[in-house]
Amino acid sequence: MARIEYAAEVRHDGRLHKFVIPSLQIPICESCGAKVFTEFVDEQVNDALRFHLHLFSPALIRSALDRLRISQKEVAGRLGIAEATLSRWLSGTQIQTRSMDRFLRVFLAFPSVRVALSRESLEPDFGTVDIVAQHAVTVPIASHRQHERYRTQTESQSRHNLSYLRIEACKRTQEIVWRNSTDTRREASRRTEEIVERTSHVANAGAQPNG
Amino acid sequence: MARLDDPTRLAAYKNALSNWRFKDYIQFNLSEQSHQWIRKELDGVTLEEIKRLMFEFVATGGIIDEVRETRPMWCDRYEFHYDLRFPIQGRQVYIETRLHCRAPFVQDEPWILVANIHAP
Repeated sequence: MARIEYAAEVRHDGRLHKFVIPSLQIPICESCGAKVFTEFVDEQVNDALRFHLHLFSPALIRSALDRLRISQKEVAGRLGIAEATLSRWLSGTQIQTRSMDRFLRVFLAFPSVRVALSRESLEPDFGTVDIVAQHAVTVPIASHRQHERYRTQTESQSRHNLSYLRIEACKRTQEIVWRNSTDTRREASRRTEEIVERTSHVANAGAQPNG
Repeated sequence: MARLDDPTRLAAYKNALSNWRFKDYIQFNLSEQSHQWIRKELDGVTLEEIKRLMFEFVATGGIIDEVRETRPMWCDRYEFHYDLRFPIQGRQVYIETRLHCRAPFVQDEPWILVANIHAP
């Protein structure tokens, strides 16, 4: 067994990747001096390719699944791939594509993604609106503003108004999201802003002393 | 070139292939040129994957050609070599193998040496 610097050329995911393996362990024929490519050598080339492309190694995928206590069957189902495919990634038989590697990383990193993909099949318009941005922009900001004003209010009527309007704002936004398939996000944001604006107005009015 | 139909050798060959998931039942002894051809021409195909594809090919009725060994460097060590020809990613691939087994063979003892892989 010798250690050599090896310039590898590997086709993966439709592209030819060239990279150098600084210390490839390889058997050398004693009689002719030729390099002998065994499975052990091929595995080193695979590891180097994963390192070169920043792809998950089988061990890292396995440890992530262990950490989340999620079965291979469940992961495969949520990602929409065959269980055999995931099994091949884990055994090193196949190397995942870069796109699947990224998808897998996002899936393993974000609980919300795992929840979103937990349904057996996604609704046809899932993904047509930016759910996270919508919630991040509208609901929390509105809630925060309202909360500040709410603290200053003593009248129960104002409280009631705020809760009601907040619920209404969410309802109206959801309606817009599900009804309109095109330009939903912009429209939803605009409508939500209007509602929030109205909410603030009412809240301000409620906070003023009644005289 | 004849189809491998000797019942003992066929059973031994299939037995070795059926153990493809386990270490050393299918071993590779490839030249640099052969390995480079696989990794450059067959997108994402590892040697481990080739083992699986060999098993699937034979398990689904693929033909194993038995060729009497006449090459001077091999004929004193092997009576036959066995060739598989099947497509991988739409490309026809030739795989030259040698069967290691005793006669009569013992279950889970035979193993296959892959000596060459290239386009036919």
